[in-house]
Amino acid sequence: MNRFEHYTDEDWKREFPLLFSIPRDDFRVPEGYFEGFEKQVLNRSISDSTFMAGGKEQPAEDGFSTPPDFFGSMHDEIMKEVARDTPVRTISRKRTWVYWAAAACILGLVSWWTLMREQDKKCVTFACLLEQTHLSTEDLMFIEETDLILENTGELDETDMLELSDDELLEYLDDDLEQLLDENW
Amino acid sequence: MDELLIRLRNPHERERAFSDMVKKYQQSVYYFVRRMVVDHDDANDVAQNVFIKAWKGLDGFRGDAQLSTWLYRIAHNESVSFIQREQRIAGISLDRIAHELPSTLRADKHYSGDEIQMKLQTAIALLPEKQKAVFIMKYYDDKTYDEMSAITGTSVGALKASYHHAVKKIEQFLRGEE
Repeated sequence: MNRFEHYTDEDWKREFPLLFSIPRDDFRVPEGYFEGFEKQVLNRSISDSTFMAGGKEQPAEDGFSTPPDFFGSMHDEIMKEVARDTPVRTISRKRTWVYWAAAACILGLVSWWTLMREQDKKCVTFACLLEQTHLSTEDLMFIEETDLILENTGELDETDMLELSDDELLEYLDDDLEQLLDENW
Repeated sequence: MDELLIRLRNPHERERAFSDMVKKYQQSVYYFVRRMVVDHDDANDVAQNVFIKAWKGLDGFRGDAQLSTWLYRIAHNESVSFIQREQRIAGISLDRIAHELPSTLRADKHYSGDEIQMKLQTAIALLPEKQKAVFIMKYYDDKTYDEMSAITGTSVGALKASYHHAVKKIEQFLRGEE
């Protein structure tokens, strides 16, 4: 058992003299605060709408409940809202052109994007082929047909191959094919 | 049974009895909350919540504790929740709160403490919430350990240890030994 368990006030003061010598009157409240406190609490209780019916909500048969006297005051609340001259906010039709313009922009963007995708798919240059197949020119060295091209073109390097146009490539293949046919057939 | 509690249980007297209960306990509840949360406006909000929660929970109060103990329990829970919520929202550390507290108190028109009293408030602010509540209940409100046990739901032994730790830490802080 700890020695402080049976400490009296005097024991505390003796062991902790500084703390127990400090006055305990430092917090103040605004003038008349406690006179108005009860009223504030009661007002909030009433606005919480559980006060008037003795703190009980009114249960309904289907499990849903309403605040006390909800239906008693409902008619008056509705009539108050009706009587209030609330300005009606209308949505202007003049702004419909904005929606049409936005729709046209979106349609244009979608069309442009689709067109670009189609063009990408049609890419048939040697450089595109390399890019699409993720093959390097070194990989192509192992393909038989490529070997043939490289043997016959002689001084073609990687840069030359990438710069070959479709027409040049097709023309070369035609020549090569004719040569092969002559030799073998 | 407490005469006020009997009246609170009587549907015909309930509202008047509640009004009397607020008048009777408003100061003790307010000052406990105020020492916990420090700022007057915050204390006002929390103290009002305490009574509103008491009103709503009257039917659930079995009367096995004193009315004052029950109110203190609500006040303790509300204060601790408020402090934790504020710290979470603001994301400010306990150290920073304590560091800024003296200047906050100096600017507070509802605080009249001198330097040593401000230092005491800073030391209290540095305590963990539950230890802070125990210290405030014992040091300022002179609650017994049994009452505090009923309020906090903590054993008397743990409360004694907690109070002793709090007092020791505060004394060291006041002497500049921490």
